[in-house]
Amino acid sequence: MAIVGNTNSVFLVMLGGQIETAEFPEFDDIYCKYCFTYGQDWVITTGLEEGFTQAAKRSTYDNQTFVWNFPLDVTFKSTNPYGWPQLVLSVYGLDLFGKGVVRGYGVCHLPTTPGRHTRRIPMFVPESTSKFQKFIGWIIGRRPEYVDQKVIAQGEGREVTRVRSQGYVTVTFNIITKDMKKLGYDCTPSDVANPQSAETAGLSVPVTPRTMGMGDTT
Amino acid sequence: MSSIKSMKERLQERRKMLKDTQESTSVFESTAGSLGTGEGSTWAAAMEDTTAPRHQPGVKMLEDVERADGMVEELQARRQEKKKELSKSLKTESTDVLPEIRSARKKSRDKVKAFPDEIEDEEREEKLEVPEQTVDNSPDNTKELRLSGGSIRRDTGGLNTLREKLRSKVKSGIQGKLEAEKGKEEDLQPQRTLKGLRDRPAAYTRFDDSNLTKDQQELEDQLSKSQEMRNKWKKAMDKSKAEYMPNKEEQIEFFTQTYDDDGEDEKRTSALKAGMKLQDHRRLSMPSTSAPDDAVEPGTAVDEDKDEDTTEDTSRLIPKAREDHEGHLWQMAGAEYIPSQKKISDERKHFYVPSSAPVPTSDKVANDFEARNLAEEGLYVGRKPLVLAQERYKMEHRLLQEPDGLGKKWFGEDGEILGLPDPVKEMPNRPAIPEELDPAIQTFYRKAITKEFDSRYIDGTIDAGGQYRLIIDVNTLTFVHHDLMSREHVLDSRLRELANQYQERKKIDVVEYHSEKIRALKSAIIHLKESIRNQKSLDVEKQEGESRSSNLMRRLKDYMAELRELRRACDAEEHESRLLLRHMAKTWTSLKQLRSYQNCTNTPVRLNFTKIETNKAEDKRKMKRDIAEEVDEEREYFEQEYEKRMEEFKAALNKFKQQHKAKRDATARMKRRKREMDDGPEDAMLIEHDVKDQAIIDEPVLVKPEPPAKFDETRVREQTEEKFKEIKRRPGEPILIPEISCSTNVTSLRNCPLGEQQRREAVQSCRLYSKVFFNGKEVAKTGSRQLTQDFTVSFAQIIPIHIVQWPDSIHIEIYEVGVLRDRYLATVYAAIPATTVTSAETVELDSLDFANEQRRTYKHEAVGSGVPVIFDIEGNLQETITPLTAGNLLVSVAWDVDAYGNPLIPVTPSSQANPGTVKGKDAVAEIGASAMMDMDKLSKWVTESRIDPNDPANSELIYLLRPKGGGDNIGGPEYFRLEQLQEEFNFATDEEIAADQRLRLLELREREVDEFRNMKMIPANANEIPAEIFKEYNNRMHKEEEEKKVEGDTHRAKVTRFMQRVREQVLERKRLAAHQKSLQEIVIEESVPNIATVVLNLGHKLAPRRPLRPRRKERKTVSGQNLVDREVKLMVNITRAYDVPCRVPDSNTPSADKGLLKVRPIFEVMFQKKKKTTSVAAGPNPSWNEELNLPFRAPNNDYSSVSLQTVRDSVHINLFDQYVTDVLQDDRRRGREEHTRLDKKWLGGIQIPFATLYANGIIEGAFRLDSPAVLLGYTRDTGKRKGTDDAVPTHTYVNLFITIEPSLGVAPDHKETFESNESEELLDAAAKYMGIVEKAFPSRAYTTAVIDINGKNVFITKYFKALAPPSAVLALSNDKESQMAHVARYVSLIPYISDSVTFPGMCDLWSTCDQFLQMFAGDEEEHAVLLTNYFLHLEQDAYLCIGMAIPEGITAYTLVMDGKKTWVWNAMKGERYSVQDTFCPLVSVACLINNKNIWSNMQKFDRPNRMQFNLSDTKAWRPFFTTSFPEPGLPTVQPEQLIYFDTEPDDVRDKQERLEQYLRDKFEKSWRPSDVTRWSRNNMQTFRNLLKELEGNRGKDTATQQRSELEQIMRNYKLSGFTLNMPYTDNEHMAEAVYATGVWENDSRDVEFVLAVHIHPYPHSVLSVWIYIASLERSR
Repeated sequence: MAIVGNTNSVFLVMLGGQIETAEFPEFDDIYCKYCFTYGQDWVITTGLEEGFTQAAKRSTYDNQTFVWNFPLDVTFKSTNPYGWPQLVLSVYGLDLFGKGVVRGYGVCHLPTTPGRHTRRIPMFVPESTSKFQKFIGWIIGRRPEYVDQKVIAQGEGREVTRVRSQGYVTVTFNIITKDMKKLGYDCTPSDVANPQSAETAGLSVPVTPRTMGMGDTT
Repeated sequence: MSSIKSMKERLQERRKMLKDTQESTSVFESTAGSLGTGEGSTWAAAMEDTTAPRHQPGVKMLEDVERADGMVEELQARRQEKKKELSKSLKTESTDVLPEIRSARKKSRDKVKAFPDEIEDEEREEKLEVPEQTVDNSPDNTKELRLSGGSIRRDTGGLNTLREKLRSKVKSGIQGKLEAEKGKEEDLQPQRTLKGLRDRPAAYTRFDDSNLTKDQQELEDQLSKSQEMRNKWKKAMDKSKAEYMPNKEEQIEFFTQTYDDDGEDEKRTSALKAGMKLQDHRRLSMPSTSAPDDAVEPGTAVDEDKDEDTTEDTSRLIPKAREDHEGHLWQMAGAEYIPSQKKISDERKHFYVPSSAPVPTSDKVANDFEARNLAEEGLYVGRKPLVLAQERYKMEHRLLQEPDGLGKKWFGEDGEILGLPDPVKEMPNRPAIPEELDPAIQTFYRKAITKEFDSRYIDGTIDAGGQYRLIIDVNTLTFVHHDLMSREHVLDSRLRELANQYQERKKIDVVEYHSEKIRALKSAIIHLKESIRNQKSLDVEKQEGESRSSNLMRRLKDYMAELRELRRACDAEEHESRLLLRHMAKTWTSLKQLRSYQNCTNTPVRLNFTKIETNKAEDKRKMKRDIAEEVDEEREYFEQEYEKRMEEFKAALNKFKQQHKAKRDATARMKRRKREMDDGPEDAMLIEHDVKDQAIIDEPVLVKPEPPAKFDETRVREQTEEKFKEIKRRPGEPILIPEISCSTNVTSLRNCPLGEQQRREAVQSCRLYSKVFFNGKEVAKTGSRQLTQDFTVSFAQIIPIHIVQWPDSIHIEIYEVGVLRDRYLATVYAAIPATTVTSAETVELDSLDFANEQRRTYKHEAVGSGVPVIFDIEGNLQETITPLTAGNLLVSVAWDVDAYGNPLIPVTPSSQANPGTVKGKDAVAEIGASAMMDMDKLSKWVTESRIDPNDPANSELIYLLRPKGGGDNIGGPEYFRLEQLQEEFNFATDEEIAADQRLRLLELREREVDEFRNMKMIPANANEIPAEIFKEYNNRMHKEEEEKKVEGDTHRAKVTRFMQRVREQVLERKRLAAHQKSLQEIVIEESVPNIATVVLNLGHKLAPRRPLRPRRKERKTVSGQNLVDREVKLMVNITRAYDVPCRVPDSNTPSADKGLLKVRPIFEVMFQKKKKTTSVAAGPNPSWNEELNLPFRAPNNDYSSVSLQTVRDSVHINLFDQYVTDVLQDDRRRGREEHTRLDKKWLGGIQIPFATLYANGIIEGAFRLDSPAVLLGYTRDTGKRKGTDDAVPTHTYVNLFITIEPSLGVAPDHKETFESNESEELLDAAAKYMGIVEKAFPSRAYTTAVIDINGKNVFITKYFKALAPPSAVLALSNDKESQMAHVARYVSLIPYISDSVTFPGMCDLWSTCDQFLQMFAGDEEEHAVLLTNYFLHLEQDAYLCIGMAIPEGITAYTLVMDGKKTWVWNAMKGERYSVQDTFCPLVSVACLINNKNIWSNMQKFDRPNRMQFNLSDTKAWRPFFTTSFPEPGLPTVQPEQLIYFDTEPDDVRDKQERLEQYLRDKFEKSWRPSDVTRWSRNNMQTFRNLLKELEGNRGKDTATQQRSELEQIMRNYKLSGFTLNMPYTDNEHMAEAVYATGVWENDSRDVEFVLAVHIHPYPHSVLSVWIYIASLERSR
């Protein structure tokens, strides 16, 4: 559907970052696919919405991390913080027989505050429904996968799946926002040195429509 | 020596073998090979060969060599020739660089041997390509080689040198002797360097040890001895050489050939060959892979043998390999190495492998400068850190590789990489450390502490702070009752208890206390009375005095009452005491009885009474006085009471008297009035009075009050005396004081009865222990102690507890040791000691009671617990008691003191008294969970705890309690709310949300309203939202409202409302279901294969390939969410058509053209108002084979399956006849200009709803076109078909294939198991039956149960019942056959609507016939069910037939068997087909159903014309109900009978007019907006009549009369038009059908149109709409 009206009142969220490393013990030859999910009020203005990293082998150092250092560079435009973008990662790798299987899914919201953030995203994979199917899957090289990887960014329908946690992917985000304050969304901590105070202040601050994400009719 | 001999033998063998195999290798190779294999001894022989000239006259050897040279030359010459022929394309080196190359190659080969693996790969390549460089590099290499060579090998250096010389000679023989010296010089250096490695194995051989290194002479002797043998051998070799020797040319070619552009292996082999040629015996025979073996080869004989074996193998392999290469050198290489080369070249694009060769200085310094030598210029140059030259070169290469010469700036003027001198000091030293540290940087060490924030700990930390200790003394446990007690014990404990009570009483002496009080009160009363009297006399006049006296009087009264109370209490006490005594006595007697009864004594208890004699006379006197006193008191009290009562009595009496009087008066008045009334006329007033008086009389008569009784002194006295007798000690009776002693002897165990013995043993084995809990955590456990026979346990344990937390509770649990599990007995709670209680002083033991309700019984004497025990008391009297385990524990808790006597008590900073104030901050912890709900409590707590309102930690609380209107008082809101802060989260009221455009938009989007569901980027400010965004939605809403209002009363409106309601419900369910995901929707998983699928797959594999009959591949379905930006197309492939009507030649057409005038058919496909046409074909059976693509747009761009199912669009496929009209006005221009118009006439069409297409994915087959009933000007070429079947009406058929591209995913079936009201038995049978039939034919759509409109599973036969069609329909004809046709027509006129459109996402719902008629819309099965039921009523053998049909897919038809023939009826169209008909739309039959049974088709074929319809054949038709499982008499779901109402003719007329007007408007305004539309009004009526007649004929064109009328019109006009017939749905729908015909597309200027609408009413609002649409052109 068309974009409603003129969209002068937008704010921008710019993300520059990296999918840095991954920790997947026991696995090798993995690569990562990323994509973003976001609400209906969000639009990607520049940058790639989806991408694949190179395949990486495990480092031989003791921590055995995979390093991708894959740049993320994307700018979002939005009118409404509802549906804040999320980064969905899915990691694939080769199994014993050289077949590509999924090694992990993970998701995290883009940080809402400007600045540099590092996220260590835990990854998980759906489990087979039965032992036998697991065995079949192992033989055939087709492990259970999500039909749509974006399902992990939403809560709907998750209750039917069972998952196993697999590893971690570390991602750094550098967030720059523009015009958020202009639209009344103040997401910077009141005191950058002590971000805690912004959270604890919570209720003592009188709640105004503005902070609750409501545009008013000025 | 023996080894040499054996060697010889072996050599001979080898030679033989060589001959046998006829290998074309050079003898040099083979000899070298065989020599090489000899490793130890053979190698020695070879040595001898080369070293011989040094000791013997070298002539012989040289001769040999020269002879060999000659042969070699020969070979070379031959090879040269060959080379010329063969390899012009080969890259060869010119002969003048040959020596260089050779030397280079040799070196590289040497290196290969030296470093078989690493260098081979890297450097050899380089060197072969750049020979000059190799030469340059060689010193480096030699150095390395030397290093690895080792010192031992140097001993054999001389020997080697000689050999090398010889070798060079051999070479020079090849090259010419002139170069021999040079070659020697060249070779000398590198070769010598190689000796180390080459000779390494030799150094370890035993020859080396014994002969060579130690004594060379000896060795040489040996060698000379073997010389002869060698010569022999050589000769023999020469013989073979003569035959197989390669000529010189070949040899040269062989060596000069560069294989640079080959792969690595090629080089390796070439190097190998070079090596072989050059008599490197050892290496020669070894492929490079075996080189490592050499390196580790030890010098033992065993190893030798082993090595021999391996080398033998390889030597055999090598010639072969070479042969291969020579034969197919280039092809092989190319095929093998292209991928890896490509890989390398690909890698080279990305990778850079720096070379380690030195970089020329000119590259490093700027172009026009020369490298400076700074050191020489006298500048200071520091020593740079040590970096290997190789590494440095590599770095230089890398830097030079940088783009744009950026790397160059890293080089200094001297051509070296810029760098600082080595910072490392030559000499290690350390800085001086000052003796004393600067105090500023002094380090302090502090112990780490763990801090807890929740104040659980006394000092906030676990391990810091004071030592606090509690001392808990668990002393003695005494059981009042224990389950192991005997009956005697029970009595005993009772007695003791009573005694204790008595003692307690005595101690307090309540009686004495009360009597003292009484005495005091009495005196007070006397005083009071006196003062009252005084007061009265004193202040008789004063007002004040009165009040005072009354005050006194009240006091007196109070005192009196108190006195009475006291007396009563005193009496009760005394009574109690006496009872107690009596009880004790009783218990004691029964105890004694019991002892004597059971013949043993278990308890030592004994009760004694001490008697105190009393004076009887004094007692009597005292008693008399007491009685008198009491009677006095009673009297006084009574008097007071009496006064009060008297007053009451008087008042009551007065009242009574008044009433009595009133009544009497009233009666009198009534009498009087009665008399008056008798006399005079009636008066309203009088009557009113009468009523009043009557009311007075009727009042209930008050009882006459009794005066209060007078004080009866004698009675009171008697009563008192009696009481005294009862309660008090009688005069003269001695005072008894009970005393309990333990003086009875307990009977010893032996003398006891058996039961008692067992009991005692059980007691003995019973052990108990206790656990001490502090704050609910177990901190200590006492040792288990034995239970004594008198049921006490002495723990006597003092437990000190070191505490860090505030004491909340201390409790002790008592356990009995059990066999498997300890038995919990009881818990006692000890008080937390006050701060004053310390262990320094003696602490009193608290007796803490406990009880346990556990029930226990024993077989032996023990009474158990919770079990009633019966005692005989005083003979016959029986008493039952149910003792429960109970007892008490003596415990003391105190604070401990340390060694200095300081108490170890925690001190709270705020208040000593309340150690819990720290928790005071938290309301919940303080007053419990009620703080969350109870605002009063909370606010009370807030005020009490005086929390700081300015403390940010309390801000929430203060905010919560802050009064809303302002003001200071803290108190919660006045109302109750489950979520206290909910209102605060309501950031806007509902009205505000409704008023705000943006919020409304967001809300609608969230509700997934169609128009807004996919809305993007809703602006942040409401004013940016365009107002028209709601227009559509509002309009729709408005329209719906409107519809509800306007058509309020008609039947159709009701239906619409009903549908709307069902639809809404279903939609809501669907929406919920869509958000309810199943695993399959979320996770892709490999399904478990079963035998069937495996077999099926295998079957596919094994099936013969039929390339001429290709199968359609399964397309990948695309799910909705991936489709947003993709174009979805509708693909329509029109193959061919049959029986297209042909034009009837006009009467004015020249007869010559008659045969030619056939038809020019053209197909037009219309979908979503987009049109595509095929090309024009010719003839009645044309063929197109054309594919038309039409774009598809989903509503609101939503391609989800839910939305797609609701698409109501249809694909219209129309067949036209295109004809060309010449419109050229001016004949003179003919020939130069062409002016024609293309017109088309509609010949027929077909509509396929998108829903059907979507559900089926593909629609394919031969379709019958719906042709207009009257096709003017056309005729069918029916002549050909006449003979076959006269009953088959001629129709046009078209072969179609329709699909959607990409294939859209169909919503998965809701496999929910719907609940059912059917019996379990039936459901079971159905499941079983379905299992059987579906297994046999999985693709057939068998059914046993369907879902009704309530979502319940209903057995399908319940839908069938003979139902009467409207009598009006039946009355149309008498003939059964035509009745059926009429009924079918009637059914077909009920509008069609797909379930998936009506109820999107729901599975097929079957409504009953009355529901169907009420809803007035349904899909195939509803029509078919209704038709079947009608047919059943007509006593036909009718069945519902479920199967596949085109274009509907899985559908339902009605099947009728009339004895001879079997017909299928399409209830949708009202037409019937013979099952034999090839063009029957029903292509597959799965099952037949009627009210009696279900028959499933188990025949091999399911095409009707290949099936038999004999239902009694159970093999072909498997029935559901059989004789073994007969039909249980299922009740039908259909109504008793259908009720039809008559259609209002006015309404129909109205509709007809409206429709006509609507179509006209459409015609003029929408379709032909730019042209003038003229209506041919004159002819309208003719057409209308025609239409009326058509309905009568059910669409059959038989009316000849009409024809003639039409023909008249046709004489004047060129007419192009036809009739449309359809059920009445809505105007829009019909307009679309008219639009599809394309009649309006006539842009001739003098065209007139005819539009006639006729609606034929059938009962129950079933309307048949006929539309005649035609264009008329006046013929010239």
